[in-house]
Amino acid sequence: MKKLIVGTLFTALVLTGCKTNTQYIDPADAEQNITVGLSYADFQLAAQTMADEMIASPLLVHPKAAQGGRYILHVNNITNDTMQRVDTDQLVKTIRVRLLNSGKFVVTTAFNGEDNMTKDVRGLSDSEMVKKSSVKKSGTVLAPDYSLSGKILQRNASLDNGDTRIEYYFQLTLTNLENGLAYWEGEKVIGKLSGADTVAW
Amino acid sequence: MKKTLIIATSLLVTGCVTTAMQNNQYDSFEAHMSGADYLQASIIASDYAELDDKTGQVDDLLWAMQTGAALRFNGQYQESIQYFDAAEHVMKSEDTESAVEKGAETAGSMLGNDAMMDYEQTQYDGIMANTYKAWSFWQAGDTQNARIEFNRAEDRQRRAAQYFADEITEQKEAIANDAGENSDAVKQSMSSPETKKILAQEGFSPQWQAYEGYINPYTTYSNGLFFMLNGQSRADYQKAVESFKRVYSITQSAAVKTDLQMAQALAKGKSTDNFKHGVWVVFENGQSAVREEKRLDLPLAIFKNSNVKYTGIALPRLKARSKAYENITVAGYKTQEIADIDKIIGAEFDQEFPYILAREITRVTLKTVAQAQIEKNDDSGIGGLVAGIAQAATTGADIRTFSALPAQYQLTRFEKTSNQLELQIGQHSIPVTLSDDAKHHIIYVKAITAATEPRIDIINI
Repeated sequence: MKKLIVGTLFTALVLTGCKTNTQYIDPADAEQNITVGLSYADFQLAAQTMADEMIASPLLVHPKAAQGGRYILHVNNITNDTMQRVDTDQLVKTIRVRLLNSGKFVVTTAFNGEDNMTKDVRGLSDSEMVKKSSVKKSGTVLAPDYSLSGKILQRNASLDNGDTRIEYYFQLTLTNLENGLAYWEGEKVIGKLSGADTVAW
Repeated sequence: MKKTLIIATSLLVTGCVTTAMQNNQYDSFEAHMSGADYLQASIIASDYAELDDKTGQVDDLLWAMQTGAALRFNGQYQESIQYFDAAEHVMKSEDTESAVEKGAETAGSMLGNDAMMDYEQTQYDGIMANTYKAWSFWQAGDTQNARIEFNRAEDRQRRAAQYFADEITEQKEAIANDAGENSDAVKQSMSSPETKKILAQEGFSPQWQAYEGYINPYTTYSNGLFFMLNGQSRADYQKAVESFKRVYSITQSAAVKTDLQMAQALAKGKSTDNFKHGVWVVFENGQSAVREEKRLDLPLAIFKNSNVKYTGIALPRLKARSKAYENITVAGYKTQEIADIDKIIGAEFDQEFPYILAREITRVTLKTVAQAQIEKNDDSGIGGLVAGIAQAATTGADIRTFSALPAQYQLTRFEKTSNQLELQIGQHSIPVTLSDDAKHHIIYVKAITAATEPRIDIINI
C-alpha cells in the first residue's frame, strides 16, 4: 500500500512537473524565454538602436529645426527575407514611434495605400451629408522628404559541434528623395544559437 | 500453455500494423491519385491525417503531407498550405523527440515491426513540404510568404547535406543496441556471408547515387526562378545565380543556362526592362518510386540447430512507377528533365537501409528467442506453432512513403512571341491563352499518368 502511495505521488509529481502555468513575462527581456525565431525583444533591440542612430545623424537635421521644422518620412517596403513568418511592421512601428517622439521627423501615411482616408476624404465634396467647407482641399497633402526601406535577413550555419548559429540582419536605408542619395544606412545583427535537432523556425 | 497463448496473443496485438493494413490505406488513395481525382484522394488522405479543426494540428505526419500534396494538385493552395504547416509541426516534434522516447518507440516495435513506430520524415519529405508550400503561396499570389518558404526549403537542403555527412556515423553506433544480450547474434547474422548473398540475390544492394551536395535540383531551381522573377535587390538576383549554377552543373540543361545568364545580368545591375517577355514551363511528370514489401528467410546465427517454426524477415524495397510522358512540347519547345525524384528517394533509401536491416534482424532474433523459449517449455507442440504463426503475422515491412510525389520534374523556357500557345501533351493538344498584363508567365503542368487529363496552371508575373 505504501508503495502504491509513493508511486502515485511520484506519477503525480512527474505529470504536474510537465505543465507550465500561464504567467506574465517581460516581452523585452532578451535573457529568458528566448525563441530561435524573432520575438518582440529582438525587434525592440534592433529598432531602438537604428532609430537612435537616425535621430543622432548630423545629416538629418532639418534646416529650420529650431522653428519646429521636421522632415517628412515615408516608410517604404521592408522585405522579410527570413524563414520566420513575421510581420515587418513590428520592426517599423517601434522605429516610427521613436522617430516621431524625437521631434525630428513626421511620418506620412498618405501614400502606398497605408491610410487611404487622406485620399478618400477629398472625394466627399459631392456628398450631401458633409458640410462642403469642412472637406479637405486638394493640394494640401505634403510630399515626403525621405523614404525608409530595407530588409530582415536570416543566415543559418552549422557549427563544428552540430549546433546551428542563426544570424538575423536588420538592414535599413534612408533615402533623400530630393537627390536619391542614401543619407543614412544601418545594420543591426542579432545572433542566436540553437541545437542541431530541428529547423530554426 | 496459458502463458504461451498470452505471449503469442500479445505478439499479435502489438504487431497490429501489418503490411496488408498499410496497403489498404494506400490502395484507395492511389486509385484516386492515378485517376487524377485529386479531390477524392485528398479527402481519403485527410481522413488518415486526422486534422484537429480547433488546433490545426494533425495526428499523422505522412498522411498530412499526402493530403497537402493532393490538395495542391487540385489547386486548393491555402488548404494545402494548412496541411503542410501541420505536417511541419509534427516534423519538429519528431526532430526534438528525446533519445529516451525514440528508444522506447524502437524497443516497443521489437515485438512487431517498423510500421508500428511513428512515421519519421525523410530529408526529402521536409524539403518537398517547404518547396510545395512555396509554390502554393506563389501560385496564390503571396510572394512574401513564398519567399519565406523558399528560404526554409534551402535551409532544409543545407541541413540534409549536414545530416548525410554527420548523423549516419552516429546511427551506426546505435545499431544493435536494441538487441541487448542478443547483440552478438545480431551482429553475426548481419555480417554473415549467407545474409549478404541472400540480400544481393533479392536485389537489396545500394544502387542510387545522390545528387551532388545531396540537393534536390527541383527545389534549387524553383528557388532560383522565384528570386530571379520576383527579385527586389541584387542580393536576390545573386541568390538566383547561385541556385542556377548548382542546377546547371548537375543537369547541363540549356534552359537553366539561359536562366543563369539572365540572373547574372540582373545581378550585375541590368534592368529587368531589358529582358523580353518569357515563358517557363515546369512539368511534373508521373509518379515516384514507392516501397514494397519483400519477405525472405535468413539463416539466423543462433538458431541453426533449433526447431523454430518461422524465422522470416520482411524488408522494404523500392518499386519504380512510371512517367506519364517522355516529355511535353510547348510552342515547339520540348521539356527536359531537371530533377529525378526517384534518384533522390533511392539515394536516401540506400543510406537508411542498413538501419532498417539491423532493426529487422534484431527483431527476428528477439522474436525467435521467444519462440524457441515457448517451444522448449511447451510439451503439447501447439505453443511453438502458435508462436511461430504470431511471429509470421507480426513480421512486416514499413512501406510508408510520401507517394504523392512525381517521378521527375522537367523544364523548358522561351521568349514569348504570342499570347496563344499550344501545349502538346501526349495525345492531348491543349490551347493556352496568356495574359497581356503580365511580363512573364510560368505554365505549371502536372500529368500523373498518360491516361488522365493533365492539369495546367499559370502564374503571371
